[in-house]
Amino acid sequence: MDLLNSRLQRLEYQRRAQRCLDAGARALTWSAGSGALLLLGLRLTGSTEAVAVVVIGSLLAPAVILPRCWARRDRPDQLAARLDRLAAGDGTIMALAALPPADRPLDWQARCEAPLRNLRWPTWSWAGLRIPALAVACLLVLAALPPPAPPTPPAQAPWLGAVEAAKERLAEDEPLFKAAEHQELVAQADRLAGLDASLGQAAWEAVERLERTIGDGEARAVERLAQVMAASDQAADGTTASLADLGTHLAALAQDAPGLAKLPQLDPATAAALAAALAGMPLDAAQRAALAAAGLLPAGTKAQPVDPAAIRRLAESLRSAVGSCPKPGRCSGEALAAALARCSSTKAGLCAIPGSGLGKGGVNRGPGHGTLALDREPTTSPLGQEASLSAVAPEPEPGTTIATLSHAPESLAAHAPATTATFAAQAADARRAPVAPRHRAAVGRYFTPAAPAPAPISLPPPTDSVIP
Amino acid sequence: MTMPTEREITDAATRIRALREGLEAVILGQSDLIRMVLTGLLAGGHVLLEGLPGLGKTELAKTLAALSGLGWKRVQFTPDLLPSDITGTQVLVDGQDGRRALVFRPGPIFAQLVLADEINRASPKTQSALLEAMQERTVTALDTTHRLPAPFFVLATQNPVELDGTYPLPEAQLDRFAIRCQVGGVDDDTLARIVLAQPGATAGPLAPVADAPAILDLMALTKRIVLPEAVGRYLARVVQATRPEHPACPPTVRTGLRWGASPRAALSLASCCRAAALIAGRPAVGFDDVKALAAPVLAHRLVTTYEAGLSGRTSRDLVAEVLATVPELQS
Repeated sequence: MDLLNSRLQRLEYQRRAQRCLDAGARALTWSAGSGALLLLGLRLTGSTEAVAVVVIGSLLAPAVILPRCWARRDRPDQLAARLDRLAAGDGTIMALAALPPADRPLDWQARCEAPLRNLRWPTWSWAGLRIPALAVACLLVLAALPPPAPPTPPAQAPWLGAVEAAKERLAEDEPLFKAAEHQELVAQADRLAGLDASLGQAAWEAVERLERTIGDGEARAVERLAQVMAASDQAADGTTASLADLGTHLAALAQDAPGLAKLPQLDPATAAALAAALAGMPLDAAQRAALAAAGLLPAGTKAQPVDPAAIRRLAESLRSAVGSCPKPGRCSGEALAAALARCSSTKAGLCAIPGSGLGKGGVNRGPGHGTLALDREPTTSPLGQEASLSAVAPEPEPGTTIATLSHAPESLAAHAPATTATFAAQAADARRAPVAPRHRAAVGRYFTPAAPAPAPISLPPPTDSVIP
Repeated sequence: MTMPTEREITDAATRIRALREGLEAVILGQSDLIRMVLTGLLAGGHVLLEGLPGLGKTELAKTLAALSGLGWKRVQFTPDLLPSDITGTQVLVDGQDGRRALVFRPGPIFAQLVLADEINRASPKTQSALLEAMQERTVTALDTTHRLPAPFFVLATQNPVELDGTYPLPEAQLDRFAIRCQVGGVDDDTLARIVLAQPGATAGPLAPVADAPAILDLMALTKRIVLPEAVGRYLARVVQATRPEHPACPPTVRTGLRWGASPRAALSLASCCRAAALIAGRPAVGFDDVKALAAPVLAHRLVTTYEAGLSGRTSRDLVAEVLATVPELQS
């Protein structure tokens, strides 16, 4: 092969290779770019199975067109023209290349030999690889991304913790409530747990009302238990009246906290003596039924006179049995001790349930406020008639009256100093109350001692006023 | 047709160089113009020199005629010049036998080198008398066609500024000229050399460096110069791109031209490229030959539009745009 033909062949190979490179780069740009988009879609959908297939397919797809590019050849005259330009032949090389090798004049071949030997070959063009390299990098980065994390559970409603605590408290306090009442409270707690997270303030208020209901129930049970214990102490004196009070309080305990009234640690002799004493007491049918349900007054028990000594033993056993009830819940501890002390210093019948009076317990809504009691019959306080709220209502309709207080203006003025005096003590309870987070700052400022004195009480109109 | 050998090219280049150097010795500072004139001569075409008076156009023709050894005639074109004043006419002569007869008397066109001075001053009728002679190398008078001597080379001049009383050459006449050259001025040094070397402003008698057969040999050798296929295709694409109706015509050219170059223009360009290659001592035409000769060969054949005239674009500018648009190589 002469020099001209070898140069032509080499130039043709280089051009075919460069053409393959350019076409492959273009194809790789499209395939890698498409693969990257597809991979992005797969990543967004969370699928990881087809990632390897997409990557390999995108990288190998350009290979399909390479044979076709390699098969494409330059026209001989164009190839000769390119070689002529590279060798600065000014047409001579083109003219020679158009002739068969045997017909080429030797003199002109000799003249072209030096330029052909010192040919400066065209440089390879790599500029077309920048964009495909970028596309491949995107593809590989997307392929190397870790699989998507499992979906995070939806954020829990902030009051769910309080609801769970209330449910635990309810489970622990089951002996302190009537069965129906306990089931209703549990149902309310369940409804609260299923509320939408957007009901922030209303839910917090519902939780607060539930906790107050539980607290009231606990307080009532503790009060009943303290009354029984105080009555048993007084019954040890052997008076009939004290014994009658003991029966009345036991019946009340059996009605309000049937779990506490079962007293399983009472020895059989004492239990029989107690049943005989109760059978002779002037109790109504409901009280007897409650005592029977608690096992303290078995059916068919006949009334028998009770020996005073036996009454003392009965009182001691009863006190011991009550103090060590199997599921005392909150019947022991400071609350029971406080209730017992309060009841021991007074007549047992005068023991009142905490929170039922003015300004006691719950959230203090400012001077002169009325207590918002839940699920309770309307009561009469020195300030007037207190109406009950509806049951736990997560989000009352706007404009719904949730409490009314009817009173005379002079009664509010007479009780205002006492209300103000209890203000500071109530403030601490109010701060601990489960107030929605966004309201805590406002509540704290309202009850801060350093805060300016509350504005003078503006007397409501003489008719009914609405407490929002 | 075989490719010329290196020796043939070398010998021809030597003779052409002698002719060129002789011209350059008389016509100072116009080497490009001289090369163009020689290109037109060797290509078998005709050359139109366009320039202001006093730039040496006539002197160039006279010097070329003297150096090339060609018989030459000069025709000063005027508005009252008649075609028969150029081609010749039949005159009544007395024969040797005493009988009178009409005999054709050749005009000045019957020369190997005709200098048509200020050709645009003649009427179109007279200008048309050159059409057959320039294209067919024949002259028809009455019913007789007379062949012109070979080589036949018309070197015409025209003044582009004194247009009063002139008749612009029609497109058909312009198409007969292979090359139109713009004759420009000279630089300071050249003008000083002209003044110092030629105080009489006229050249003395010159010894010819060639003769008609030698010129004919060179013209024959020019035809053997190889036009490679790639260059020929490029030349064809360039010529086609000057046609506004052609798809490959650039948009600016399409709006600037009314008529493009004809196939005769392509043939002239190819011939001139061959001549240029021979003058350069090469056996084949290159792309640069096409680029260098496209404007002189094609520009005067193009008819520009009114818009192009308003925008100040000449046909040479449009040819330059075509050359910038058309690639040499096809991918």
